[in-house]
Amino acid sequence: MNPRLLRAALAHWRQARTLTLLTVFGVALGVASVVCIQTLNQGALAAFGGGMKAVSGDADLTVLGHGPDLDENLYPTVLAHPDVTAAWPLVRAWGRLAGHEDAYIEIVGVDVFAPVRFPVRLGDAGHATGDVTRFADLLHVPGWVALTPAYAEELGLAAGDTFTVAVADRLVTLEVGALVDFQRAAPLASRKLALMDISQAQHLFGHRGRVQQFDVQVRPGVAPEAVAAGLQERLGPGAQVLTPAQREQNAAGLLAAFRLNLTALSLISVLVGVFLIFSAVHASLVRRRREFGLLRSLGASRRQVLGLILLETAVLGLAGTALGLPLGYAAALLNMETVSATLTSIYLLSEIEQMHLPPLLVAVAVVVGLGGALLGALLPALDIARRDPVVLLGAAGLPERLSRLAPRLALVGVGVAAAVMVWYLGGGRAYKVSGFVLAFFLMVVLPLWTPLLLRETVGRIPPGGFGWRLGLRGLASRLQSTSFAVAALAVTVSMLVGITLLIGSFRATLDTWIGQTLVADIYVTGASWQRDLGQTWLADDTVDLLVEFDGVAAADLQRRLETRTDQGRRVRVVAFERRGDAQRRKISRVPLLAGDAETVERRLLAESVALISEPLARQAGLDVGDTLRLRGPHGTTPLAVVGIGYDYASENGVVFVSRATLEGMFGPGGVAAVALTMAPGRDPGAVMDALRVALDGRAVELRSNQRLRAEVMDIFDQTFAVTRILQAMALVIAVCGVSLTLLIMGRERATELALYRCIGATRGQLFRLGLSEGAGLGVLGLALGLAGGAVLAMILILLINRDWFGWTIRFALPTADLVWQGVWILGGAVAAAVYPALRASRTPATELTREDLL
Amino acid sequence: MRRWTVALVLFGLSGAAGASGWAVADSNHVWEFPRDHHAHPGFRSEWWYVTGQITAAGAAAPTHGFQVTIFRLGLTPDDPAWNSDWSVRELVLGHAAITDLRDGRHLFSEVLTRPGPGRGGFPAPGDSVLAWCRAPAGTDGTWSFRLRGDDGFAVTARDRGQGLLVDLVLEPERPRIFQGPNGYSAKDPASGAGSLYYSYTRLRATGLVAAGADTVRATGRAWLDREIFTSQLADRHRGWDWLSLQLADGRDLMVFVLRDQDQRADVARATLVDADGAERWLDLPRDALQPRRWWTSPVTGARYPIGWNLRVPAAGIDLELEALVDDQENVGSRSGVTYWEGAVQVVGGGGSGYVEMTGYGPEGRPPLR
Repeated sequence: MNPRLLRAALAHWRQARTLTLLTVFGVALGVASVVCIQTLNQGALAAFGGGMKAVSGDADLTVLGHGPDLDENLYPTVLAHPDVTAAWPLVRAWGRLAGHEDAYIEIVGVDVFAPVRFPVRLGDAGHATGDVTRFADLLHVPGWVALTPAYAEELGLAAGDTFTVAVADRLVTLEVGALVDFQRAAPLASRKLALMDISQAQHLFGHRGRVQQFDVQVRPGVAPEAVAAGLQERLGPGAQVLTPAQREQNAAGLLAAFRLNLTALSLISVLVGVFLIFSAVHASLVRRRREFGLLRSLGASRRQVLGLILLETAVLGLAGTALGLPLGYAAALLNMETVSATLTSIYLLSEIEQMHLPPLLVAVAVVVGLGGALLGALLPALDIARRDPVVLLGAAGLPERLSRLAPRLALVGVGVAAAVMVWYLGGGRAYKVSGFVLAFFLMVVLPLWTPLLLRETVGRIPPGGFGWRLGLRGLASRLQSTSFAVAALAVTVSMLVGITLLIGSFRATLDTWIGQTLVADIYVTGASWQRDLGQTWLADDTVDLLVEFDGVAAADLQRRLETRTDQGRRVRVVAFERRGDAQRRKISRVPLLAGDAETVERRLLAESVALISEPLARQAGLDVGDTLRLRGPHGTTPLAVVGIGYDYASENGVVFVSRATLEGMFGPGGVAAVALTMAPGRDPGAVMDALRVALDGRAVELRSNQRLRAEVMDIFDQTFAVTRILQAMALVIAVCGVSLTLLIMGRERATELALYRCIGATRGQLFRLGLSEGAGLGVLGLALGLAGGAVLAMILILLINRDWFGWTIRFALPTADLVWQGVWILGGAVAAAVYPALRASRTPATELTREDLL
Repeated sequence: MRRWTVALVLFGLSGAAGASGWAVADSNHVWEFPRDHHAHPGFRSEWWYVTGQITAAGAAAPTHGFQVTIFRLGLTPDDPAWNSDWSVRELVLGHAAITDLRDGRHLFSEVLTRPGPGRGGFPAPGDSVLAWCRAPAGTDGTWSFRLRGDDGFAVTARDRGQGLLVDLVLEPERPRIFQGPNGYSAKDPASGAGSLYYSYTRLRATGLVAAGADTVRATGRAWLDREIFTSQLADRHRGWDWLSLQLADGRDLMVFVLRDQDQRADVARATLVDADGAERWLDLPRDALQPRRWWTSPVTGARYPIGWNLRVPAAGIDLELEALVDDQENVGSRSGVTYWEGAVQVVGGGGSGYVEMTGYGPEGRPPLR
């Protein structure tokens, strides 16, 4: 490449700062959205992995139970395996810090005398303070824990200080016995970790004879997988033996749908970014048309011109990537808490406290940024390179070829759509990602139809006067520029509308469901309930007090835990017990999709049968009358499915059984939540106040019906919060596209505008012309986008939701949201038109040259 | 977490709990058997300790030396009040070693665990099991000392990974003897350090042993020690040499020498048991036991004497002792406890026995009080 050409490019970038910046900006936004989402995705897994490493260290295997815990008497069996060199038990629990809203700490109970190297070395001098060698303290001092220095400082605690955590309905005072930097061994682990002796941990937070896991070290040179199989055989069906990789896979599987959705959204942002790049490159090439004509007439080959343009774009693409990486990382950091909240409230995984930018992601960002830029530049560059130098040097705008091509492009669009439909119906639907494939091709087909749409709508407006009609007709005569702006806007709006419809429909469905299921007056849980899956429970006397309290007519007691089906599918098991006045009971009824309500209720309470949630029924292919097999500490239990109910609490499936049935499978366990129904004429508010007094000193949370409903909706909104960021990014990109298009049109039509001035058009008229063009682009993009969005919403709700989640979502029209978004987009388009319109209105009549008049 | 665990348990507790709360051994103990074969939770520590030389069926001379010990290591005199089977006031430490006297192979295995279901413990009187712990990781089953009949014992220890097995029935050929007046063995009168100490100095051992692949039926002679204490050594003591000899003339001899921080003999005592089973407690001169030959461990770097001259003037004893195998060092990788415990013989066919030496390694004093 001739260095002079590069110098020319540099000079051009300086002159056309806006265009250059917009190109870089387009790349940066696309890269940023990918980096942001992928950083969060990986952060979620890294947090789980870090937590695992902090607690389990370099253990080769972990033995877990089915349900919240397992029998510690399996310990000798684990140790006796010939290839096991060490094994140690762990008791784990979540406590909620008293006095801190929503702050949880994980308590890990270890056998400090276990002859193994914990990742946490209490005795290592250097990174531990406090006299941790005083083992008697560790065994004796009530609540002795070791904390990380960072977290202790955050809480304002020093060695010797005490603090209180709530576990179920109990308040437990812990004493900071030592400060140990656990994160040294696992930097991505949570700092919110408290280590204590297993005896105290079991006493305070667990249950005698039950532990959460055994970590196992295997003889060097022996494959852990082989030992896992042997151990599994020895331990029987009551336990599961997993390698660290399998545990990470399980967490990844749990999050698969959540992560895939975010990834898909970020890819749509990239697509919109490519449109912006296209517009910007196109604009800059139009501007430099004569320059390229000159180069060609001086002997530069088509290939050289193409190479020059692509090289320039590549440089801008790299600049955009360099900008997008930190931008995306910063966006990820900003969204970390929201995503973290979703992870903990919905998936009960570790929260994300720290994230790293994985090196692989940097490579991906470069590919996306560079590839996107080159992809966006390819068409306009090919167009310029192919043109005849004489045409390029000519004064008039480039003749439009797209107008002629429009029907053919639309046909290609129809062909693509047909091909995809044939693929889908002919077997493609069996693939779980098929919904995403359809959505992707919808985004491809929309732009292909745009030129014809423009030609056949605004192009057919009868001419008349120097006003909006002229402006709109002008959109059709400049199809090459306008199609892309409209297409970019349409894709963005489709995404926006599709997701808005999905969220709106989902929200409305959820609201109805909550109305049907949450019917009790007061809901009572322990303080740490949110993080707990059946490991701790309300004290019996707390439950008795609630059930027998003055004003309470009936109560629903709920116990819940998590296990797997015999197919390995993770499910939540919720067990109900009903107490009190049967007549007055407003029980939490699960609305049924299949099965007769009365029969289901009767059989559920009397027999060992199950009511399963819709996602489970769909994902596992279960129907009423089929048998569900659940793993438990005593092996697999078959349960007849008597009904299928609507449930939106867990995408992984919920199984409802009676408390007696659960007890038969998992042994005794207490109640995690109680729903109270008031006696007639009793005011729930007053009863709640009286309950608060009676329950003083116990860490219980009382929620009114109204408040629980609000909390559920809050969690819902929080889950979708991160999608709003992407929507905003896409909107910004699309509005930039509108602005760019109008700038291009202004430049290409300089002669035309000058002529208008000569024949007496005022600046105001030209300005209005520009605005009407902007508004026209906006309206067209919006219209096409609404249509695309409606289709996308159907794909999301009927296909993607069905394949990945399996919920019934009833369509609902979030009118207010849609109207607002329409107003924003139109406003954005008009606002984007202001600057180009101003510039166009200032076109001097002197732009008209002699040739133009000939 | 590996090397210092027991060391810290045994050293480190002094600051927190000290000896306060624990019973202190003295000569006023009221003995009652078989109750006293069982654990004494009021004292900080105790052990069940058997050593011996044994001959595989068909062999002419002893083919194996063996040692099995279960230690009870007190952590705290009061029971922590936690509702958990992991809530303990003591630990169980099991040591087992076997030496193949023909090829010099010495195997050692160690278990350290909290007592509890499936892990180990010290059952109360009435139970035939005196002390037990689970086998080390990789091996099923348990290690134990058990009462057998009115006046016999059984001991079992196995480590599948190493091919180590000691599974023997022990029948006393001589009555139990006290290792001091009323079973009190004073170690340092000034500080009150001392132990309750009784022994079976001659037991007939029958059963199975293995040091490697093959398990062999064997018979031989064993020595069983029971020592119960809260404070065993004075602060100035670094380690001890202890030996048990079954002499060819029918007498049995126990000797211990406590060494100070400079490895000089500080206290030396002996118990001599006549052929008729009567014991005599003897003060020894500080130079009673003189090293003649040394061996340096390639593993720990510790330098141990492995040949001695022993003089007990009051009993007219003056003999030469030789280790049957140089390397009989026990390295407790889990507990951090390292010592030499091995089969010896009296040069010239005058008898055989076992020697234990602690405090020679770079880690200094053994983690026992």
